[in-house]
Amino acid sequence: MEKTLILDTTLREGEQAPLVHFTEEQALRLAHTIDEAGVDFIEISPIVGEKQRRITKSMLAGKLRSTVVVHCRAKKEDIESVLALDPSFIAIYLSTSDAHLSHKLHLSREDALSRAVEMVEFAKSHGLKLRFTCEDASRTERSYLLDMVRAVSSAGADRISITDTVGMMTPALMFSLINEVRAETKAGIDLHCHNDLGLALANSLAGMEAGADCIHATINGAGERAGIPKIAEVAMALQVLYGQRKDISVEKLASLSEIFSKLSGLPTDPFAPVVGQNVFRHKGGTHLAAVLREGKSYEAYSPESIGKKRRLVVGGYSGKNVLRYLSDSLGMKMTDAQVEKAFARLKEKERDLFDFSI
Amino acid sequence: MESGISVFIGAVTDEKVKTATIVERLRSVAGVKEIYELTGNLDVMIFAQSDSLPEINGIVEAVRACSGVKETTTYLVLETTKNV
Repeated sequence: MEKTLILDTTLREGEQAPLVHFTEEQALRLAHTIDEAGVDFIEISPIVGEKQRRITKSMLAGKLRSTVVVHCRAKKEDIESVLALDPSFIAIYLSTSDAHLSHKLHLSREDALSRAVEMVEFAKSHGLKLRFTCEDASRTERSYLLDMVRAVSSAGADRISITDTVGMMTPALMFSLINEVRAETKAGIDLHCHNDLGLALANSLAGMEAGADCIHATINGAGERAGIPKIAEVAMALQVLYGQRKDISVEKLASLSEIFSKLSGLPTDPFAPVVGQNVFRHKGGTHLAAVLREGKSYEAYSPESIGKKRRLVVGGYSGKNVLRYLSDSLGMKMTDAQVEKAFARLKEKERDLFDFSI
Repeated sequence: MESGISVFIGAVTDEKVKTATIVERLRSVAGVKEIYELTGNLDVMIFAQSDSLPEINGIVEAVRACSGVKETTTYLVLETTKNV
């Protein structure tokens, strides 16, 4: 857990979210800003269509600091199509759960295992770094999943992605799963956790604590259904809770959240951690009084640390302290009686009147 | 909920300086939205708005520093009711 890597898959998983579409120019702009933020991997799938293929080509030619991970199915035609782009890193995926094998792929466990090994060996024979993704890993029968992990590791996979495809894990279950996977392979372990029950970030962190070293995320958590972890939250959690990845600019990731909202037309939840407009907005009288003395009284991290400003709400919930603070700050010299009178009028309003940054 | 702080800054001005000159000086202060010339205890009332308390403080300071402004009193707007 010395350094947890972050993979941004906004251009692959994120674009699978309803209403999310990027033009080539927008996608490249996002990729460059993600890169500037210090993210380790940027994932894209050129198999989806011609636009994505052109974007992938531009990204590979674009001298990004981040490694471009080119994503496709564990199928020979997909891999050959990716090889034509001459990437340095490929990610191939194959479902491993019985539900997917029988209903989606119509493959037996044995055939899936053989195909996985064959495709890993084929791709690796071209000299690339490779990640093998066990799709629906969390619902895969454990001994079979571990067989798959051992097999693709022996075949040369550099990284293995353990996915919670429908977001059914708990942090304790994820810790246990990754603990077992860790014991079976020396490959790096990625975590791709969906957020169907709101546990994607918690599950990712639990998996990391058990030995995984890469977390998948997207801007604003965009992805299929409820999406995956939000990249700004992942970076901030690593910085605040684990004291690592101070090299990542959360400020830049927060700005990407706004850009993403504008491009997609999907507003950011005001309560969203890190990037939501309420994160540093204080309202209750006791909170305001404490925060005016010391910000960290009611803040997990400082607004300055991500280029934001603290905001105070004035209204029926705010106490006298904020009035006294405004009076002193603006040289208004309000008397105690005037503060009391203004406070009484605020109480009458029983709602928020205005807010401001300090 | 309104976003930002609104204040009225009431000013008493120097009778030796033309009010029009003072008004011109006040117009150059960024963040000053409206200037009213008045009769009575106050000569000029200035309306200013900003999202940021440090910025609004800067506006108040700039108004106070304006040549021809003798003294000021700042009034914080709690709520605005429009009658249109």
